[in-house]
Amino acid sequence: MNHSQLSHVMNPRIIFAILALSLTACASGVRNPKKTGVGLLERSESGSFETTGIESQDIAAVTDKMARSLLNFDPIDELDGPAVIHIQVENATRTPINTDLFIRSIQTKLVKAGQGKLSFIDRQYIMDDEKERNLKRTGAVTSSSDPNVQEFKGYDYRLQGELTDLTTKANGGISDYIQYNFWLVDARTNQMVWAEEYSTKKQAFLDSVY
Amino acid sequence: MFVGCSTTHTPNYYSSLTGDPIQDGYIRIEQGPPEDKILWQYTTALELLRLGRLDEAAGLLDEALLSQEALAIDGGKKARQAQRVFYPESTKIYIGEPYERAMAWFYRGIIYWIQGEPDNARACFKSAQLMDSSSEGEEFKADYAILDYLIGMINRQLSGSDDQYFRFAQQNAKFDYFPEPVNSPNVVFIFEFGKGPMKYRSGDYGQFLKIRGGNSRSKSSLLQVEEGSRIQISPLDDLTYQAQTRGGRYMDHVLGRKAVFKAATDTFGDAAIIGGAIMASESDHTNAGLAVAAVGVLSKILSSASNPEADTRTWKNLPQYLSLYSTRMSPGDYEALVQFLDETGQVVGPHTKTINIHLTSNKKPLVVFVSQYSK
Repeated sequence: MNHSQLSHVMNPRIIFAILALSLTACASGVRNPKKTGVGLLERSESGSFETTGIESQDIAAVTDKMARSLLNFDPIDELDGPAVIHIQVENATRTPINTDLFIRSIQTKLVKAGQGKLSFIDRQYIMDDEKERNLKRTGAVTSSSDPNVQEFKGYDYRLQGELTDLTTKANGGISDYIQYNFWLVDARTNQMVWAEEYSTKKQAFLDSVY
Repeated sequence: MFVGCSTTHTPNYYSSLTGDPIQDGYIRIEQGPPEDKILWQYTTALELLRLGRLDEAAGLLDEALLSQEALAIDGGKKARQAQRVFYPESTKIYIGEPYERAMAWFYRGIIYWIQGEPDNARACFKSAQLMDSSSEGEEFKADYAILDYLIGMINRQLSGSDDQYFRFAQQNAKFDYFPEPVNSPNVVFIFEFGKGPMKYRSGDYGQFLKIRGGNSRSKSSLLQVEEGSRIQISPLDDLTYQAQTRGGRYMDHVLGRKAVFKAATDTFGDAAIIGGAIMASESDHTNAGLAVAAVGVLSKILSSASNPEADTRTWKNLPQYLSLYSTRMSPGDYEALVQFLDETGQVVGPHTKTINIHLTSNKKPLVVFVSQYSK
């Protein structure tokens, strides 16, 4: 290597560029939050660690909307006695979720605001209830009413919910459109008599490192 | 600066390791480097699933998958460090390559289905398929035949419609084996066998991430449930194929740039040291020569400290092949025999399993996970 080649390689701008690059490489550009510990949020608030899937604020918004709409549904509003409702929710999205969160929340809101217009049946433990009734019928346990009378309620309406989604992943980002459909079926006629929907669309850029 | 940039880990938990994969998995999760936690959650969860400890496996996978989703959106401080010249890619928190992320969702889905939550199982299989679409290569996105098949089965179970997923599965099938979908099956067998793919580095500075194919002496499994019935089950999916068709990554470009930096500073350092020495030997330029040589040394140090190595952390206990078989049988008790066969049809190793099956008239199918490695 002769002097002219060396002087080209030793160009101060090249040396400076290499040093600057190395210092930049070491510099910390961290956006690490300074706050630590547990923060208390309202369930309708968006947290700092969101994903594009179903989150608590969505459950609150969906169940609020469904309960309000259902309570204003004329046939239920005009009933003399309570309408017995059976709820089922199916999750067809890509987000695993405990659908009982929707069921329990809607039930609670409807019971609290419904002023006796609505009652719900829970058949999750019907086998246990049947065993208990049979024990009463045999006299093995006490009973406060005649156990031989059929008192298990049939439902008047089936409230069916379905969560569906459309996910798009492209150009370093992801977007989830989630639709929450609920509909009420008259169990006597099998007719859909009420329906309501709620939808969200969320998107996020994916971290390029992954 | 260099001291600050270099990091070493003292694995002080090594002395507590016992050789038991589950116990060691928990030790590594709790005491190992935080950036490897998800890797060990995946690994330990799979060991637990193979032993039938479903709740524990589900707990580990749930935690790992939550982190996986959040980190994929914002990898945080470690992800930003991993892009810098002096940090290796393995600085980032591991969430796995797309095939590994997909498998975490796959196993969580299997557990949900075994535990009677088909809709959540389907959600996991959909998410698994979505993980596979992380690959940049368009051609090989979301092409797990088994995932589409499973989604189709659950769609049929829940709503009576397969929603074209069986067709997608058939299009994605890479082997001759494609079991005819059964209406209302009451037992579903999910199979895994062989050793999965491994990652390794190549390139002058280890900057290229490569996948070494998995291996499996077992090429199929033989299922006998009822007297006289022998059903040969071949693979439906191959994880080596899934891993090797991952497409490009943004990190490949970052590592490429790091490798260029390393090479440039190394070459520059050599030139400066030699040139400086020559200059210093001339009495008129002694001081300048020494200065140039010092810059050369500095450049060599920078080169040495830079780290373009690709991240080769691998989910090591994944299988090579996945498959399934479903059928409808009369309610009752059965003893299923599963053997694994090599290319010539000979039984492979001590992997034969006997599985007791109790079928009721329940509409929900019984889901049986059969791993070559289950005890």
